[in-house]
Amino acid sequence: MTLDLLGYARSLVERQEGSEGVWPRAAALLTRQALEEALDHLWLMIHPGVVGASRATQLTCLGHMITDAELVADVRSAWSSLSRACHHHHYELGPTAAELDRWILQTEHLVETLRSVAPHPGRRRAHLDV
Amino acid sequence: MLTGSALRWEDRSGPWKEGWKNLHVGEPPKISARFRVEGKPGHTTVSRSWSAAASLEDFPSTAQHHGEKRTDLAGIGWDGPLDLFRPLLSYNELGMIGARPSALFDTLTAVLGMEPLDTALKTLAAARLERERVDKQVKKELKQRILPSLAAISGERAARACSLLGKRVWDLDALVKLGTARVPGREALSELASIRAPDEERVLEAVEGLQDACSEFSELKGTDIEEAQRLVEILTKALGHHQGHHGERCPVCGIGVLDAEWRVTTESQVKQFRDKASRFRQVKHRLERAVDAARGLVVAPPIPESTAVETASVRDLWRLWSDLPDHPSEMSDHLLGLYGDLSGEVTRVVALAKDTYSRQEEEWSSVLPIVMAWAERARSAVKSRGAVKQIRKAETALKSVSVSVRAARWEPIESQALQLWEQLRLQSNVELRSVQLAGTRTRRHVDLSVEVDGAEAQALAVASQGEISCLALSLFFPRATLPANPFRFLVIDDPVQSMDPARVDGLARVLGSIAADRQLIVFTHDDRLPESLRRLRIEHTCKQVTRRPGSIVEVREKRDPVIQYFLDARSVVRDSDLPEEVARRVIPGMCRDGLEAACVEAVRSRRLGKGESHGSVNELLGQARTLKQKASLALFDEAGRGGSDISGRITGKWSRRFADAFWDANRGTHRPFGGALRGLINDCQGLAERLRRS
Repeated sequence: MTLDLLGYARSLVERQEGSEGVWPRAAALLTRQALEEALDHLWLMIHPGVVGASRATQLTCLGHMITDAELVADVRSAWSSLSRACHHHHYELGPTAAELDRWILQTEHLVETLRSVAPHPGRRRAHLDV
Repeated sequence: MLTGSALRWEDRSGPWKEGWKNLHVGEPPKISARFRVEGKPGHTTVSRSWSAAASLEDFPSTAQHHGEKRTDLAGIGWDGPLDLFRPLLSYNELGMIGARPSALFDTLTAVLGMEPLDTALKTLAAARLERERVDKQVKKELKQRILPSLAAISGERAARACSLLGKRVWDLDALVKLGTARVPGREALSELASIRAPDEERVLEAVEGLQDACSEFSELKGTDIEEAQRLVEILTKALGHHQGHHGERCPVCGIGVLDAEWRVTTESQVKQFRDKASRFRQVKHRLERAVDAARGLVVAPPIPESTAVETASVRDLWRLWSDLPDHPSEMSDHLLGLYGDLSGEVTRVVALAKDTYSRQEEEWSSVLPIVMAWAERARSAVKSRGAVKQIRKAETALKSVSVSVRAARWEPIESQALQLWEQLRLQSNVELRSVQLAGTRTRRHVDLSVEVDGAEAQALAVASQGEISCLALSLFFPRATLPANPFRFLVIDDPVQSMDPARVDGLARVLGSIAADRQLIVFTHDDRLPESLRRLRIEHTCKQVTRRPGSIVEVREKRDPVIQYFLDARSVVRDSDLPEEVARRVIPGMCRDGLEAACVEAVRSRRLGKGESHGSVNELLGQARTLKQKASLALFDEAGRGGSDISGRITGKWSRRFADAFWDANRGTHRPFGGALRGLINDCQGLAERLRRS
């Protein structure tokens, strides 16, 4: 990652002024990209074939890579919330600061974990060098 | 701020009333609003503030017309109208329409201005009830206190008082006369107490006279005095006989002749005898006087019958006493023999009568004050019975006036409510037939009668939450838009919530018509109302409220979403705080949202315009998750067209550049966009403007 997307997302949410009206959506877009990039990075390292699969499939595969089931569940929910937030929806308002804060936190946690992840024991997968 | 309360915490306690202060602002809490008031220059400011230690409900209001003295809401005369017309409708009220039927009734009737009539009715009723209460109290007192205490005592006056009060119509005048008369009047007991036995001295005198006369009389027996008297009598009679038989023979001896000589001689004899018998005559005369005196003593006085005192024995003794023997010599024994018994009995009876009488007097005067006090109250109670009748008449008349006035004032409100419901209900099968104010006092309520597919029902029983909100709005608007309402603004909190999509269009139209001649402020966190307002081209201003961390709240005008997304994208480009790297990541996503919004708008207005239901259009759009799917619907009016079809159609209809921008935006959402950002925004917006009108 050349750019600290999550850092920018967090600063957008935490700033007390500037980017009026734009910051919730911008932060959501940045967070989702950070999450997607983390996933892409993981698949490139261990299984480039998965990169082209849909994000839903990728998230299913993630369950086999990470033993922390709670984290996987968090990431799935963060990703689907972010995708919703990043598409236009009539009848829905932009995400709130609290929601964004939670998604950023969950994504940060994922990125951390993916950096140190070891393939699931008993599964035939390449080891990640961190 | 205006009403001094909020349904959110009204009638609630504890947690509902805590945590109302802004956690991130140290200063004492304050809220204020500026109003423009007809005929007043500048603004009128209303505010409320809390001191540091104040509780939630402790917040005095201040109000100030520009350039005038600061006062409070009452000071500028808003308190009454605010209470009456309350131009605010909170979400809680929307849902509470049926929770407190009497409250709804009160709210709706308050604006009818029936208060003066209601007050008059209440005053009349209170006046009548007070009089009825007094009357009842007087009757109760009579039954429980007056009659029993009269019955408990003896005496004619008590009995008479009882009979005066026992009648259906009390004779209070007679009662008062009975109570106030100083002399009790002729009563058996008082008469009985006044009888007297003959005076003992007089009796003894009479006895002595009788005895003396008798003994003198008997002493003369056989004397020449008695003889002389007898001769006087005989010779006087003979002289009388001679008067008519002059010169005849003596009828006694038959020998002598009754001539003039005889007469002269006899006359002188009579004179001699008379002189001799004068003592006899004196004695006889004295005897006669003694007998007369005795007779005078034995005349019985009238002895009244009395229930309280036995009088038979005294009566018997008097009868014996009066039965004087014929012969004077027996009279003194008669008198002496009976006098002791008689006077003893008379003394006994008189003492008894006096005793009884004074006891009765005592009892009577002990109950008299309460009887008189009661009579006073009874008199006014009786007098007010006439007034009660008149009050009843007045109540009946006023009630019927009140009913017709209320009906006349209610009619326009009802018809407007029915009309509003027609506009709001759209695809609901609940038809509102009438809105009637029904019941009185604690059972007062608003009768909302509806027809569901031809069957009669009560609205609250069959309506969904959304329909109940619509009903509440239908009832709120007519009240708030009455000509008498001085407030030209209305504030409604979240009327859209729990409303079916179809009904939102109805609401938007209704809000539009209300807003034609007044300011209407609607809070919502549901974007459907703005969407509907935009689609139906109802003039409005939309402001978005965003909260940053630390309770920093941003309010900015919100345009229609297509324009807004591109405005946002441009502001990101301009934002010098954001590195270009970030902008490259963010802007394509915003452009894509703008394109999606344009597609959705196109699909929605096209399909709804053709008469499709909101439900089915929403379902269709809900299934189209990605830009590609939405564009397929927008461009081909069907789902599932591929990328090349879309590119072809965009290129064919408009230009190749737009097709490129379309895919740049779509891809750039996931990875940084390398091209010219402003160009991307311009092209996407151009495409979006065309798409939304396709």
